[in-house]
Amino acid sequence: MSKGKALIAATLTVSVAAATMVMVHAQQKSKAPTLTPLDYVEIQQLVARYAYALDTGAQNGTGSVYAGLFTPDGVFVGGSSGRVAKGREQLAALARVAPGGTRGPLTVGHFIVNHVIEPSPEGAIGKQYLAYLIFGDEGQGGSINLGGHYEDIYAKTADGWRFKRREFIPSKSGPQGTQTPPPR
Amino acid sequence: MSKVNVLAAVLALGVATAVGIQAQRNGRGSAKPVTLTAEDYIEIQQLVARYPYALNSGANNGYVMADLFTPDAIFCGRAVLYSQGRDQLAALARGRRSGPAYTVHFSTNHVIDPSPEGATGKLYLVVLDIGEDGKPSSINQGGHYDDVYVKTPNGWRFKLRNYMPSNWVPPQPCAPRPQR
Repeated sequence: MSKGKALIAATLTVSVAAATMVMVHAQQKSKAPTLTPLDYVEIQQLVARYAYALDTGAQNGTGSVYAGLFTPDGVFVGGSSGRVAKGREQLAALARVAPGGTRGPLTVGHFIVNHVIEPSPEGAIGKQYLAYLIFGDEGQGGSINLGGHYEDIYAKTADGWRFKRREFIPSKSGPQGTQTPPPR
Repeated sequence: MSKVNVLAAVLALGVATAVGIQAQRNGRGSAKPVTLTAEDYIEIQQLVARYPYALNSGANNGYVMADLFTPDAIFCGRAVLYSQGRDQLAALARGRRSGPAYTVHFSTNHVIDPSPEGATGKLYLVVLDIGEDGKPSSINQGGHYDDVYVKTPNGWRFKLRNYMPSNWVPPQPCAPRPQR
């Protein structure tokens, strides 16, 4: 092979390799997880419904609405004790109104804000701040009971978005510049 | 074909057509479930977010708040049990402390559901008395709103807003009053 032909062959080889790399990269990029605007809205709605389900103990104090916001194998991890509830029955028990309890359809307490949502290979992850407030009679006055943030994993099911895992982390100061790792 | 047979055929065709039209009408509701687009959700969220600014500022003598509602809309509350129409709604935003920098109504947990009329919604409210001039801050009250939204040529508006303080039993249901 002459030097000229060899140069052309080498140039062609490099060009084909470069083009292949560009195509593979573009394919990988298109496979990056994404969420539609409606996905974001539906996940926001899921989290908004959480507060009502927990504060009211619906339906009729059984906690069944709360449990229904999770996947059947969903998990809640909560508080400084690291209490774990897994599955519909244990989850419902978290929201159930105890005999003689005062929570009802008009009770409010969980004020959830600053909802960040990110796509993930499994569906989506998210986090929010919580201020838990306790009000006096007829909603007057009140005090801050606790605060912190949630770390969530969401899964899109046939019935819509559901919590696959939700963890509450109480507020606590610590070394500056550190953040909790995303949920796994 | 005899005249009787022709008449029977025409009658059968007529009945079949009528049944078909009625089935189509009946099916319209069930075949096409009520839905909202992502843009509808966002516009309703924006409507609700504008409410505290309009109420707390008392802008334009309360009419900025009143114009978030339809002209015939109703507001039910605890301090003023029932208000209807633009002037009464504007008065709600006037008869209180207010100002362009006044911020006391904090709302969250906004649930929105499509409805045949447009949409319904609910959200939590906490009213904070933010201390001024070095005075301490405190929680004034809390509860939730039950809303009805309708889509007008000017965008989504409140048709009904019912404020229910936490664990409060209202003395009367929030509903349109009979015309006098």
